[in-house]
Amino acid sequence: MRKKVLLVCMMIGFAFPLFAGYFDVGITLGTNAHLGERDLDSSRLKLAWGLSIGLTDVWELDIQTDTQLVPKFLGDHSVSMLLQRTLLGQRSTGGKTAGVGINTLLGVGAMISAYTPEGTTTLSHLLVSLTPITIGSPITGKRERALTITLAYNLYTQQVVVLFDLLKFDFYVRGSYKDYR
Amino acid sequence: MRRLVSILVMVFLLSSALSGRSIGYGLGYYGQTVESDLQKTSSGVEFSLVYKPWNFAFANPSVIAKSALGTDQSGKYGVPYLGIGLGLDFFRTTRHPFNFLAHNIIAYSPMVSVSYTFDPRRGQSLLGLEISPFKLIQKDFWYDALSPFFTYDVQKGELDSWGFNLIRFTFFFK
Repeated sequence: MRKKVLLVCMMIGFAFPLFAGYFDVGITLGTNAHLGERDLDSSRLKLAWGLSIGLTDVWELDIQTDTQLVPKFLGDHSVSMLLQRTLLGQRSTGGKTAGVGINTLLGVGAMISAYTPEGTTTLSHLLVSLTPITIGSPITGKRERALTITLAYNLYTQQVVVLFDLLKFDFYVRGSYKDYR
Repeated sequence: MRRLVSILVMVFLLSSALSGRSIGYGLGYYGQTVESDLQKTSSGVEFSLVYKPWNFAFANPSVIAKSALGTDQSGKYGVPYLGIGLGLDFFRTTRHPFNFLAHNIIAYSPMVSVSYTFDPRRGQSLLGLEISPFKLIQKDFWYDALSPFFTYDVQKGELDSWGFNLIRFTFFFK
């Protein structure tokens, strides 16, 4: 299993031209709500935090941890990994030009969490995600993602639930206009 | 006494012209844990009205009224709190480490507020305290994130509830 995961990671790594000039890294902060699995996740308020990594001009990898704040402060965590593609043009121009400022993201991925009947932390959900609106870009250094809806298929209960991220902010520490002077 | 109150109100209203825009409304995303009844733990939208008559660089006061609408642990909609109180910005500065969060230079102005809070679900009066350690302000906007709040039952002498306003936008329109 570990060998397979490693192989897939390597394939993804080689498939994308990481050093072709589009590489960028952003720190993500925002909100998350897990709807439809109240019996497995009692959270009422979650902080979303993580990394948004640009792989090409249209593909990105988003790694997001959702941390429960209420009812229990730092109560539990889940980690989602999404491979996402922009639908309205380049997410980054790889140069000083700002490029497309408004975009849409569509992605697939998986979530590691303890939201299973046994409560053990494992690969628990498969994800399909749509972010209807993003404003900003890596080049401008900041991006807002609004109204993200993710359908999550629980591998253990065979139920489809919803993850809803009202608002997220990406602050780019690599790959902004400052890096293309 | 009535004359004194009238004079104070007039002074307050006249001096409010010193501030550009002084009346605003806010929308926030809150979550609250009720320690005495965990079933009443809720999350949802917070609405607020703010009146800030002045723009002092230090100790700038404001009057804040707020309410919220959310769902509790059983999914039932309710109003978890109503509150009115006084906010105090400790200081305002543009020299801070959070400028990278905004497209333009923005001022940092941490705030603390104390309020009379009422929980209509339980008919309970409480003392509220909220801290906004990450509050950024522009002429027409306040943005605050990760603001913890607490309500204290004065009669019982114990913490009644606590929570966070994860994010809140306040727009000053007048």
